[in-house]
Amino acid sequence: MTHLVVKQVSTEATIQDGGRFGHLRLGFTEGGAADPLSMKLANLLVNNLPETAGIEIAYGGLVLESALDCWISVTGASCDLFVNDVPVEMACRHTIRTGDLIRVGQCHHGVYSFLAISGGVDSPAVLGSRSTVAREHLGGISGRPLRNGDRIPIDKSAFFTPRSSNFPEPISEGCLRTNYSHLTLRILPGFDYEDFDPAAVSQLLYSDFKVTGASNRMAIQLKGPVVSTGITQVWSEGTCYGCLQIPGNGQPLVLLNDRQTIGGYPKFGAITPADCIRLAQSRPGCTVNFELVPLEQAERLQWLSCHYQDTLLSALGAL
Amino acid sequence: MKFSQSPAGTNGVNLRLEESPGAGTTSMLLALEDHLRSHPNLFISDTVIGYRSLVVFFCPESASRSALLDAVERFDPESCDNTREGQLIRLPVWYSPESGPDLAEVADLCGISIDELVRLHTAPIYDAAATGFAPGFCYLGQTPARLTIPRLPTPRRLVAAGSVAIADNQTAVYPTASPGGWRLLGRCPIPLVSLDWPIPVKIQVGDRVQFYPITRQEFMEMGGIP
Repeated sequence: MTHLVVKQVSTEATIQDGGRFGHLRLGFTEGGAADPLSMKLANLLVNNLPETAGIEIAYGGLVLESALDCWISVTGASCDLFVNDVPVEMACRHTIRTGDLIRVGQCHHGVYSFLAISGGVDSPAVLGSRSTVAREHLGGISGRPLRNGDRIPIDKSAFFTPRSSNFPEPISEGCLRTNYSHLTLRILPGFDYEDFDPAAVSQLLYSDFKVTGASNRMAIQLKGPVVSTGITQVWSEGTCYGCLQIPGNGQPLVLLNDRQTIGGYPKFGAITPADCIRLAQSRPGCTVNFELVPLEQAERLQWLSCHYQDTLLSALGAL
Repeated sequence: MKFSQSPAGTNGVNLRLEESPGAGTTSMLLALEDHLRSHPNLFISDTVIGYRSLVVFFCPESASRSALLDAVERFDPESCDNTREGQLIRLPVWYSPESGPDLAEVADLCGISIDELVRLHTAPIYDAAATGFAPGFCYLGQTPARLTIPRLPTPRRLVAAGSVAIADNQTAVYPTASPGGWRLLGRCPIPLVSLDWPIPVKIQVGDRVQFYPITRQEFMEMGGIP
């Protein structure tokens, strides 16, 4: 078994793939890369299938030593990237030789970067996925984020001798934008929406909220005017990706990949997946506002974002 | 019983019973879940049962929301067997201040002895109404009225795996070590989650659970680590 050795982790780095699906019923959350488009781009750059397991790095800061010859690429949140102290570009394929040091340095904007390795991370799959959910002690290496000294197994069956030096050119930056200072989050109403006090609906739709530092892979915690839903009785029920919940303190929470599968706070609806990814990549201090979209428009937006993604990925695959 | 529907994101539907949960609610939701999952053309990817709702997720590339809602319309509540019972699971619990750090305080707050508390907690056959919070964490209801007690004002940072706890009118077993705000009465030595099982959790929605007391010695013989 060949591997990469973790020499240094700054904030948090976890093994992630497309996610663990089909087990919400038993209480297992989905997990998966917080920015799935970046994951897919990174994987295609190194000839992997789009949802192959790689390493998600929050706020930069990861040093790896390679015990194999391979290709790597890093996409998502914009970081300084070095191979043996030589600066190299993001969103580009790089050839790595045994003994090389890969350093993901300072993160300039965005939150989550994705490092793909040709062949992919080969840690044990749990319920069909290698994604780490630390809260559930599942996936990754021993169900936890990466630590110094960890050996990250790489799939040897995909082992190969690199042919070309570098990918022709990096993916254009427009595809990888993560520097947001304000986001409009489109929200599809549902769940308890009809029971919200009209004043609370106005507050949610006509105020700006700020992303706070208490945000993580489970949820983005927003701060703004205190929203009083007027709802007193809520029976716990299934949540979904992007679900906007208003807990007792009146400060909205947007549930993301590692969310709990059921929740007992009033729920306003769900942010569209494309906007959730932008929100996941936004830093504390970023302001957001909400815009209601009817079902038909939300479905159209979802179709467009899938179409955009397919076009981008097939263009890359053809290169 | 009538279901109201609303979107749970672009690939989900929340089907909610209009009245408060009561006897038969869970079996009705399970029957609806079975009915929908038996239609392969609905491309259902996952379902989550709550106290009075079923959230259904589908693959939007393959399935349509309207086909799913049509199938909900065709569901006949009369065909739902309200007497349907899940498996009965009997779980051993070592009740003691050592294994249940809140046992004495709960007895005090309820104005009863520890023995009476154990007798009351082991008396009912509880219904598993929802799974959530953590894998295999099942909300079991309802506890006897005398045991109704609010959650801890400040959740514990770490609750031991197997801890048996109460809060409001619910009881539950923490399947794995995690933070938690419920009041701890004892510990169960039997594992409730294992990735080695074909179904990785022991208790599912619709099952019924009864607790019975064991000694520290028995707890250890059953593989518990005090």
